[in-house]
Amino acid sequence: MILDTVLTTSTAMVAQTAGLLDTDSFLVSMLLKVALVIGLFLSLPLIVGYMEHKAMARLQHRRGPMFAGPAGSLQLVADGIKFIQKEDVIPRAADKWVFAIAPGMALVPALLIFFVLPFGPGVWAADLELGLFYALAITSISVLGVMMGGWASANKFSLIGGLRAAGQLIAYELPLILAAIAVAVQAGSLSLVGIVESQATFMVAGTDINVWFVFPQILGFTIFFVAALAELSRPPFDMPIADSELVFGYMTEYTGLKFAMYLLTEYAGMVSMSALMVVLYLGGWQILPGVPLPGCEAGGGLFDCGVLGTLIGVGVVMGKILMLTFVMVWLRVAYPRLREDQLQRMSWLVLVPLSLVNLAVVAVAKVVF
Amino acid sequence: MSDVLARREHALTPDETAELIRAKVGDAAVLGTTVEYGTFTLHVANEHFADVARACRDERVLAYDFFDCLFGVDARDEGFDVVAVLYSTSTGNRVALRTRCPGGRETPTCPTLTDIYRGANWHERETWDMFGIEFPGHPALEPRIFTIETFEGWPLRKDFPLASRVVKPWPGVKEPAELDEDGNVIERQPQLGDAPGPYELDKAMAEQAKLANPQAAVDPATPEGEEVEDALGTEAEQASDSGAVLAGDAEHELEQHEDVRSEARERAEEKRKAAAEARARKAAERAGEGAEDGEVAAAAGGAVEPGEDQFPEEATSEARPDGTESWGNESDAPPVGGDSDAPGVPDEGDIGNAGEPSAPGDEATDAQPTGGEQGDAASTGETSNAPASAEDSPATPVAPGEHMPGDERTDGGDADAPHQGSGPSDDLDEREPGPDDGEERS
Amino acid sequence: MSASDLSAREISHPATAPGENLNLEIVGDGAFTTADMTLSVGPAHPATHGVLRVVLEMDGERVKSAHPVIGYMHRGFEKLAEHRDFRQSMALVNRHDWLSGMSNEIGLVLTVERMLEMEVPERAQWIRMLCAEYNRILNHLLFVGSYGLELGAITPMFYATRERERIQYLLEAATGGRLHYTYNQPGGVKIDLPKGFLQQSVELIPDLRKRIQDLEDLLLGNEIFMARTKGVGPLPPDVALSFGVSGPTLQATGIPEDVRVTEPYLKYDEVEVPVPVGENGDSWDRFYCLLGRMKASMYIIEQIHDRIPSGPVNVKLPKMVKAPEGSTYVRVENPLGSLGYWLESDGGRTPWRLKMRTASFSNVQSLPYLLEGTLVPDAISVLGSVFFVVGDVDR
Repeated sequence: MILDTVLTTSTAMVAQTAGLLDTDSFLVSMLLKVALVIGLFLSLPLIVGYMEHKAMARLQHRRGPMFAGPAGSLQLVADGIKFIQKEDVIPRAADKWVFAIAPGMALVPALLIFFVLPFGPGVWAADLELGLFYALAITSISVLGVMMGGWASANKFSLIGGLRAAGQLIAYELPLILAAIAVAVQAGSLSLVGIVESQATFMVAGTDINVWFVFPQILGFTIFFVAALAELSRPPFDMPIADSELVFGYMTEYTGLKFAMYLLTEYAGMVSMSALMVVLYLGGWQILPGVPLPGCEAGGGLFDCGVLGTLIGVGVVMGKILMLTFVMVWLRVAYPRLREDQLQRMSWLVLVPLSLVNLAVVAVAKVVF
Repeated sequence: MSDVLARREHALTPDETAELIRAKVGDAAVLGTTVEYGTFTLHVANEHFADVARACRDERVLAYDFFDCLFGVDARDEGFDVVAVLYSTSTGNRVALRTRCPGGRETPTCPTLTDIYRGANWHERETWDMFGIEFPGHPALEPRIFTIETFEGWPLRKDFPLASRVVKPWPGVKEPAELDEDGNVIERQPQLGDAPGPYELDKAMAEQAKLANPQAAVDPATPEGEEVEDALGTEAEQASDSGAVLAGDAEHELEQHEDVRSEARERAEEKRKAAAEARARKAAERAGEGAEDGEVAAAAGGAVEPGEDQFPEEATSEARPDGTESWGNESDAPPVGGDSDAPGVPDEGDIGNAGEPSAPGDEATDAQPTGGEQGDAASTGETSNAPASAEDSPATPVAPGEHMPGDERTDGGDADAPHQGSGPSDDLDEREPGPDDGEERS
Repeated sequence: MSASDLSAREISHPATAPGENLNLEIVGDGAFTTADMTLSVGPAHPATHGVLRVVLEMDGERVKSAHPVIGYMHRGFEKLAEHRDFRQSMALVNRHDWLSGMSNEIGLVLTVERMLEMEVPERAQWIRMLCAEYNRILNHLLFVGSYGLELGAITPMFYATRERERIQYLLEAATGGRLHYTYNQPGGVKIDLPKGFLQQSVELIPDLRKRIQDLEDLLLGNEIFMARTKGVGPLPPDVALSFGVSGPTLQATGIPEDVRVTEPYLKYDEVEVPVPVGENGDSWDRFYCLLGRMKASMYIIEQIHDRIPSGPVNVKLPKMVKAPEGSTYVRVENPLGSLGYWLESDGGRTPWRLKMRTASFSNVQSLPYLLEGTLVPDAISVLGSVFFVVGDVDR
């Protein structure tokens, strides 16, 4: 895709100026950052969506989209064009303004989180001190849009869907954050870049092989993954949508572009949550533990990279994101849907205690070692 | 729990069952038993219906625990029957409790079984919806379970017409009641039913059907009914409930009276004639539009495909530019030859031909094949060409004069019309109307 | 059981899903009271596959009462049948339950044949059995797929569709129809099986068995599936019988009632018919019985392969099939349960009364009982597991 090449070259340029654009004019760096974020935001969900189409199809003995573009690769573009053409229906009983704003409300946080996600060495828009905090805070705003949509649709199915989404968010934000805190404790930093760096420098004693946090915190990773699924309303936790029960949950009344915005939110969420997991647990852009990127100098061989190293780093992150999203798709294919109360029970009675245990263990270990 | 048929050896015979019920509920409860075609029916006095059902359920030796179904049956003048079918999973016995509802056809009522079998609930609602049989004590018969809430009438009663036949008469002879033993038509109204005609004709036919009803609803037991042979007797009887015939409540009351019947018959006759005239006029008009006369003949002969019939203008416009070719360019028509030589004069529409069924040349046959090719020619087969074929087949062993003297249904000499010896009708003849063509293929 | 039993009923929903032992209970009314909500599931709703409508009175997500509203698809088959002769009705009855056309037809021809006291050639009977069993698998496969879909598992539907296609291909070869076969006629079947049919059938069964095993692995043992279905919507056997519930729904309650066994028709008395039985009558058991019935059908088909004789497949019919005066009731095992035809004839060509006792009607009738007190997702789980076809309910 042309977009991708443009993106990659621009990101490479960005990255070359290391430390991300302390140089030159503020305006140029700002524009580049915005272009980077928007470009990723628009392209990554499409890639993930296409992967989902194809992976699901293969798992179900189908072929998936085949006709739009080579091997159906432009199917989602075609879908997007179709969505634009659709009539924008607003139910008469709906709360019109809320109804109209809600999809945007859900979409914007999904976009904003991309600002702090590092997609490669130097490829990030902002390295906030409180990056992790910011990311977790922003993700939970999305559900506001979902609730608004559910409420404003003036539809009982939508309402139930919206409420379920809210209940799910409250139940799963806690284990998600607790699991992430454990990582922050171990890394000693809330900065996402800092966490990647600390993984690169967290060595197995006596060797020069570093350890990703997924190994000491496999429990935390599992909790984070499950909680992320629930927060994204991905199957098997898609009760807010639950098409066989709630028709289409909070999206029932939405058509056209607004519906597309909700869909985009979901896929962008998959990408951002996967990217978070890559950063927090899977060593960021490191290929394998102990393997430095070619051309990279500092920070355990992950920073101050040349063009090649940056490109490889971005590729590695993308590969890891695709792997994680593939697992999400796989679960969707393999599992039925849980019940809302079972989900809540699982959160409060299983995941929250476990994540507390995880946090405690990590904290103790941090102090002891 | 694997006790299905556990007590099959101890299953009671029908007579024993009746005895037991009599002993438990009272002698008056059981009016009789019949066992026909492997089905045991216990005729129950209506007031004891629920008691008998309860006994059937609670008696250990009977143990009819499975509620199969409950439904109504139209019992002609005596009102309605209610039949409840019960089954016992332990003995494998089945009983049909049958009761005649008091209240005749006006206010039939029947005791409810809902407090004995849960399953009776919806079945009774259905029976009420379909027959208007009240079940005092039922939790809620309303709203109507199948039909819409505002529906009027009781659909499964025999005096309720099949609505689809009222709205639009069946455009062909397909009602089983209209065929005799050999599958030949005995009720023929060629002018009306030949093809889907203009709206007026449909209306006329519906009118006629309405008028014909009192006559058609003759009780086979009446002298007139006895005269006719068996097939006709049933035919006449079924005609009353076949949708081609309307029966309002008023007519239903009147139907006993002979004079009214004959009067209605006369009126029907008139109506039909008028309709026939209207039809002929229509055909003439079409002919006047300059259609090729062969086509006109076909139209008048009633052998026109529905599609063609509805777009006469189109057809004529096609025919005009080159009179010799006309229908030849229709996709499914046979080679053109017949068209060009038979009627050479395109414009001087020979209206005289229109009335004669014998006249249609290849045009009539052109129109036929589509229908003739449909499977199951006998039962569900052809649509528009059915009338034509019926007309064409004097093979009816029952000559029109024989089977019902004075009956307007054996309509005139139409059945005597010469056989139309062209291809498609041969095709039709090969397919015997009666049996399926299955045997040949097996 | 008495009337009082019917009115006062204990609703218990045993929580047997894993992790549900720690049951949180809110005692009393809670801090604030809320108004009930009426949720109209259907007539156009993904879970009702058709136009069934269930009006749920809900408190939060808990169903307080459920009222099925049927009749959206009432087509008046019983009235129509009174205007058709028996052979014409054949094309009518395979439509009310469009997933079990073959069994519907067989029910009617058996009824007519019994009244005509007609001898049906051996081969025709075996062919009927063969097709009916294939039709049963077709039907069940669809429900296996759609039940997964209702629980949020999308894959089984695709798997099931693929196997359905192969069977439909086979049946199409024999009958010319994929859904509405119109294959039976009084006295036999329309036409003999085509060449190679049996060979293909023999080859198909092992494949089918493997694929159905796949489906079973995908769903039956799945933890989430079990959590969603175990203990959901239990139906006690006596209640089921009282409702007239039949088929897999009845067998799930532990009663091995199957018309093919208890009142064998055709040649079912000459083959072994395994009847799967559940224990609790819950959704899981119903689904288990559905799968079990498919396996049983495959087993029966294998027996048919060995037993099917050669010979004629139909008899020469009179030009007019007229049932003699009288009435009879014939029951066959439809895929969804027991299908009964009450045929009352006045000696004419058309039935005086043809009552269709359909399985779905009685099964759906038990929904208010089953849905009361469940949660909405469980309501869907129950709705999907009381297998029904709306056309069969409404006729």
